[in-house]
Amino acid sequence: MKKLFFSFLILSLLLAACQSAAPAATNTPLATAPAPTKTPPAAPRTLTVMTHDSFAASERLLRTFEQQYNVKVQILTSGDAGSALNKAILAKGNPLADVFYGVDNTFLSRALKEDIFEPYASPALAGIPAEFQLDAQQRALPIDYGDVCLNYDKAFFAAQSPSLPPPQSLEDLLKPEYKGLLVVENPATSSPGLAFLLATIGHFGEDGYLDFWKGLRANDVKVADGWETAYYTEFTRAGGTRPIVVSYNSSPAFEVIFAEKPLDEPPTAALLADETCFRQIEFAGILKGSKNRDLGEKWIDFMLSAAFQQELPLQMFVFPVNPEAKLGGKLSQYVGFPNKTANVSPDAIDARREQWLSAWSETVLK
Amino acid sequence: MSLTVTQISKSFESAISSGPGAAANVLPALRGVSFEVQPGEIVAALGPSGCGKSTLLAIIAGLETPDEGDVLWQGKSLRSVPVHRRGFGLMFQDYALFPHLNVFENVAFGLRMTQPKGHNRLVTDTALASRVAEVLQLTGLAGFERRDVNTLSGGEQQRVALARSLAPRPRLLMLDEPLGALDRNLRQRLIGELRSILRHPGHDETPQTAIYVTHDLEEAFSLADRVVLMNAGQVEQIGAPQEVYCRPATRFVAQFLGLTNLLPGAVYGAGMERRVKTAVGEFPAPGCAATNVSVLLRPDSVALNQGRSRAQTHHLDGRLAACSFRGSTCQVEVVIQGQTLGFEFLANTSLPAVGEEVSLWFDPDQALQIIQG
Amino acid sequence: MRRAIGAGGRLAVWSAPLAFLGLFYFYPLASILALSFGRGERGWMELLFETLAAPATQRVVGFTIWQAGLSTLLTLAVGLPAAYLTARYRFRGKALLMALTAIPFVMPTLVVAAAFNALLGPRGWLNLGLMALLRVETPPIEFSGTLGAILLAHVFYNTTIVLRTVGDFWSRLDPRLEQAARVAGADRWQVLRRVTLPLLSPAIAAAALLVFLFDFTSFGVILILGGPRFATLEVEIYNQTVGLFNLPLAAVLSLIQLACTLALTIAYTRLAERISRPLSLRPQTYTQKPLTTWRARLAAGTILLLLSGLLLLPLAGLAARSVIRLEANRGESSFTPGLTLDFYRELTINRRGSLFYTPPATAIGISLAYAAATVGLSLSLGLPAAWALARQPQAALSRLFDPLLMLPLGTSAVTLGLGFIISLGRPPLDLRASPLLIPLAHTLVAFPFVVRSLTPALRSIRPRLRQAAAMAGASPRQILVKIDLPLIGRAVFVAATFAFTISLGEFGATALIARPEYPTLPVAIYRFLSRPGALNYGQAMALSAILMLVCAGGMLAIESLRGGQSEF
Repeated sequence: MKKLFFSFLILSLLLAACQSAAPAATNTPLATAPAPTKTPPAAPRTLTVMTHDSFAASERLLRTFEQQYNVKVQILTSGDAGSALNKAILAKGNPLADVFYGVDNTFLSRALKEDIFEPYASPALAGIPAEFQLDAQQRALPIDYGDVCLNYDKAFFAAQSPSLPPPQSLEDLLKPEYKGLLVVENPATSSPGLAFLLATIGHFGEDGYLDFWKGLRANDVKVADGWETAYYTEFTRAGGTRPIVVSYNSSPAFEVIFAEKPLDEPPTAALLADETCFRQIEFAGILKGSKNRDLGEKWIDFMLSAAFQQELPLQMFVFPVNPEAKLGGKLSQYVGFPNKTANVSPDAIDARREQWLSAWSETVLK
Repeated sequence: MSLTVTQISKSFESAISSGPGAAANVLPALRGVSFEVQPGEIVAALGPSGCGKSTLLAIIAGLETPDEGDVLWQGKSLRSVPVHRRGFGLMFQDYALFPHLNVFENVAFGLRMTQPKGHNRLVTDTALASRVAEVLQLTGLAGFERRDVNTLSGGEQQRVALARSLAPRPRLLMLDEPLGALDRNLRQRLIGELRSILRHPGHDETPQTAIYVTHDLEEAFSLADRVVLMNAGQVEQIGAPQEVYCRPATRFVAQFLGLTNLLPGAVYGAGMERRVKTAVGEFPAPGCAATNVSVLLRPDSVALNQGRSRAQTHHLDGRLAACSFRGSTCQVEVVIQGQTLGFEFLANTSLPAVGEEVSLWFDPDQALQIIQG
Repeated sequence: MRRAIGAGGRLAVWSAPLAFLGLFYFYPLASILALSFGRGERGWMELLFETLAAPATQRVVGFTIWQAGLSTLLTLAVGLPAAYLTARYRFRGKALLMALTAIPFVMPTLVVAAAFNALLGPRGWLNLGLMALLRVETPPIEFSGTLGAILLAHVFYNTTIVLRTVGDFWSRLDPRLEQAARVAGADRWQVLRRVTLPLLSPAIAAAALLVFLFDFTSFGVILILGGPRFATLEVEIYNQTVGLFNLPLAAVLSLIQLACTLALTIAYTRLAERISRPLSLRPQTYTQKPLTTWRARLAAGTILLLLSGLLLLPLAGLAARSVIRLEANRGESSFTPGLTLDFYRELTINRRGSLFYTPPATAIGISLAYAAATVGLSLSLGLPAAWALARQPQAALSRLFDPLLMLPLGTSAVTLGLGFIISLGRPPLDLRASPLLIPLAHTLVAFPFVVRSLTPALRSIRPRLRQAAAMAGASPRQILVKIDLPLIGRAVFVAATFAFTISLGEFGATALIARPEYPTLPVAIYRFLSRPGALNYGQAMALSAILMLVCAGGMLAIESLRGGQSEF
C-alpha cells in the first residue's frame, strides 16, 4: 500500500516535471530555426503579445517574423476579450506583455481611459481607411473588423408554406409572422449580443431602441447567454427552434468552408440591409512600460502588413482593415458586407453601457 | 530495572463539558498515587471500574500526562520520553489489533518499529521472523501467521494482542483487563497460561516485569506477586495477595474482598489498655490511635457453639436467617442484635433450622480485625 | 502522543499548506480586493452596506443560496442511494460504473448544455417522443432557461461527489452495527434513520458542503442552462468585472460571497465536531455482499436506471454525436444521418497551418500532465492539513484553519484570476505567464476536496490503534506511514480521483491563464465550439468524447493502482 502510494506520488511529480519539459519540446522547430546568416547569432529577444483566446495565426507567418527580427514571440491568451483587457489594465505599470491586441470599439474607451497604451504612429496606418482609425492619438491601432449581423437558416424559410421570406430589416422582426423565430445573445455576457444591442441603438436611436426591444419581447425573442449557445443550440441548423440568430456576416461563408461534406452554397445567409449590422473593430497597442518598444512597433507593423492581414479571415474569422489584403476564393464568393452599419461612438458606449444594459435587461428579461 | 510512580494526580474535565462554566466541572481521576514495580515482578492494579487504574496505565505508558507527580524508570524521570521511546508494552482491553495487517505483521509491528536503521536487512528479518515465531509458539498461535485478524475469535485475538505486546521484549509490560472480554472457562485457563508466559517470556529470558490491571479479584490474586488496590483515584493498600486478604487495610478493601461483616466500633482507654466497643461486645484494641473504627469479623473464623467454652473465646447469640449450600461450604446469615452478618461453615457442619436460635464462638485474635475508618 | 507533537510541531505540520494558501490564495485575494476598493470613490464599508441594502443584491444572494440548497438536496437524493449501492454490494462492472460516473464532473458546461438540449430541448428526443405520443404541436417539456435545467445540471455534475465521499465511508461502516440494531428490534427504516444515517452523517455533511459550495459559486450552468433570467453572485461578479469594469462593486460582491462561504463552513465545522466519532471501520470484504435477493436486485436495478438516465444518457448522446454526420451531401436536399469518423480524422490535421494547432494526443498529454501535477501537489499539501485537523480537532489552530481551507471553493474565479495578475507579478515570483500557474490554480480548488475526503477517514481511525502502535515503539511519523496511511488508503485514492477530475475538467481558471500553445482538452474543445461550421462543432464533440475516455481511463487506472492490495 505504502509503496504504491509513494510510487504514485513520485509518478505524479515526474509527470509534472515532464509537463514543463514537454511544451518546450513542441517548440523545438521554433528554437532551432536557422538564424539569419549575416550576423553572428545573438540570443533572440522575446516579444510578448497579450490577447484574447480567439487569437490565431499561421505558424509559417509567425516564424518569418521571428527570423526577420531575431525574436521569439510569446503569445499570452487571457480569457475572453473583456477579461484580457481587464488583466492588461490591472497589470498597468508592470505589464505582462509588450503588445496588447484584441480590444474592440465597445471596450476602446475603457482602454484609453485607463491609459494602458503608448502612442505609435505606425507608417502602415497611411493605407488604412479613416473610418477604422477611431483613436486620433494613435494609441490603439485598428487591425481587423467584423460585422455582427442577423443570420438565418435558408432551408427553414424555403420550407415554409405559406411561403415566408427571410426578414429584410429590423422592423420586420416585430411582425407576427416572425414570432418566436429569433434568438439573440445577452449583451451583458456576450460580445455579439452587445453589438446587436448597439446596432438597435444606432438604428432606432436612444429614444426608440427600448420600444423595439419591447416589441421583440412581445414577439417571443429568445435570449441565450452567448454565441455558442445561440448558434449551436437554439439555431434551427443545430437542432434548435430559432431560424434567425445574431451572428457574423462571415458565418455563412464558414459554414461552407467548415462543412462536414463539401457544399455548393452556404446553408445560411446574413441579413446585410442598411443599419441592421454593427461593426466591431479590433485594435492593438503597445503597452505602457514595455521594455521592447522597438519590437512592439515591428509587431504592429507586421499585423498591419498585407501578408498578416490576408490571413485574418481564415485564422480568426475577421476581416482586414488593410485594403491591400485580398480575400481568398471561397471567402470573396460567399461573404457579403453591409453598405451601412448602425454605429455608436466608443465614447458613448463607454459612458452609457451600464445604463443601456440595465434598461435592456429591465425591458427584455424582467 | 524498576518502575517508580510518585504522587501521580490527574483530573479530567467532565465528559459533558459544553456550555458556559464547564471548566469548573473537573473530575479527579487519580489523587497522589505512588507505588513501585521491582524487576521481574507482576503487580496487579486492582479496583472497581472507574477507580482510575486505566488512567494510571495510560500515564505510565506516556499516552497521558499527569497533572502532578512523576513516573520514573530506574530513578530517572520519563516525563520527557515520548510513548514510543519508553520501551514499554501495553496490551489493550479491546486488543486494538491493526485491521489492515495479518497476524504475523501485527506481532512483528513493534519489532519493525524498533529495528535500527541501516541494519543488515537479511539478518534482522531472520531475527524478526524467529522472534515472531517464538512468541506465537508461546501464545499458542503457531500456524496463525497468515490469518486475517478480522476473522479470529475473541480468544485468538486476545492471544495475538498478547503476542504483539510481548514480541519487542518490553522493559515493562502493561496489561489492561486483558481477559475482560472472555468467557469464564477460557479466562480461568488463560490465567494459568498467562502467568507461565510472563514468567518465561521466551527461552533464556528473565521473567517479564508487568503491571496487570483488572477488576477481578481472582485474576489479580492468582497472577500477581503484589497487588495495588485502588479506589476513587487513590491507593487503598499495597501488598502481596495473602497479606492483603488477611490484613485488609481499609474498610473499602475489606468490602472489595467480600469481607462484609463490618461493625462500627468506638475506641476508648489509653495506650496498651485501649479497647473497642461494638454492638457485639468489647474487645482489646492495644495501641489503636483512632477513636471510630470498623471491626471486621472474618466469616470463616467462627464456630458453632459445641457446648464447650474456652477462656479466650467470645460468644454471640443470634437467629439463623438464611442458609445456602455452596458445595464445599455453607453460607449462612445470622441476625445478631438486629444486624445481619454472614458466615461460612464447612458443608458437613450440622446447622439448626432457619429461624432458630444459634450460638457462635470465635477467637478475637484470629477472627477480629480493627480497620481504621 | 500529545506530548510527541508540541505546539511547534503542530505549526510545522500546518506550515506547508498554510504557506501555499497564503501565497496563492490570501495574498492575491487581499491584493485585488484592496486595489478594487482603492478605485472606488467611497469607503468600502459604505459601499458594502449600500449594496447589502439594495433589493437587487438581496435577490441575487437569495437566489444563489436557494438554488444551491435545492441543488444540494437533490444531489444528495440521487447520490445517497447510489452510494448505498456501491458501498454495500459487489457486482460486475462496478469499477466501470464508478469510472463512468466521474465523467460528468470533467465535462465543459457548453458541451453538457448541448447534451441536455439533445435530450430535453424543444426538439430533443424526449419532446419529439412526447409530441408524437400525445399528438401535440408544441413541445410539452420546457427545459432550457428554467430553474429545473439548473438543478438538473447541478445534480449531473455533483452526484459523483456524494457517491464518492459518502460511498467510501459507507463501504467500511461495520455492518454489525446495523445487524445489532436489527436484532434489537429496529426495522429497515429505523436502522437507516437511527443507526446508519447518524453514523454516516460526517461524510454526508462533508459531501453536502462541497456540493453546496460548487453550486453556490456556479457560473457556466447558470449562464448557459439557466439563461439570462437567472443570476448568482458569481455571475454578477463576472458581469461587474468584465462587462462593466465596476471593480469596487465586484469586490463587495466577492466579499459577500466569501462571507457566506465562511459562515457556512464554520457552521459545518461546528457540526462536524459534534457528529464525528471514531468508528471501527471494516474492510470491504466484510461489508459488501453480492446482489442475491430479489429485493436487493430490484433496488440496484432502480438505482442503476436512475444513474444511467441522469448521468450516462447525456454523455452517450454526446459520444454518438461525434460519429454521426447530419449534413447532406453535395447537391442533395434531404439527408439520412450517417456514421462518420471524419471529425476524429480532422482533429489530426492542421488545415490552416495554425500556430496553436494542437494534435489531440498533445492536448491529452498536457491535460494529463496538469492533472498529475495537481494530484501530487494537492495530496502532498492536503495530507498534512487533514492529518492535523483530524488529530487535534479541538485545538485552536485547527478551529481557526479548518474553515479557511474551504474558502478557495467559495471564491469567484474572475476575482482570484485578477488577483494573480496584480500580486504575482514581481520577481522572484513572476508567475503571471507561467504554465505552472495552472496546476497551482487547480490545486486551490482540489485542496479542499482532498482535505474533506481525508479528514473523516483519519478521524474515524480509533485512537487506540495509534496508541498501540506508539506502545510498540512507532514514532509519530511511523504511525502516520504504518497505521494512518494504510487505513485511509481508500480515502487517499478518493482524494486523488477528485484532484484528477477537477484538474481535467477545469476550464474557467485555465482559460484565463492558459498559454495558447499548451491547451488542455476543455480549452481545445472550447476553441472549436467558438467557431461556426458543422465541422468545427463535430470536432468539438469528438474532443469531448476523447475527454470522456481520458477521464474514464484515468479513473480506472487510479482504481487499478489500488486494486492489488487488501481492501483498506
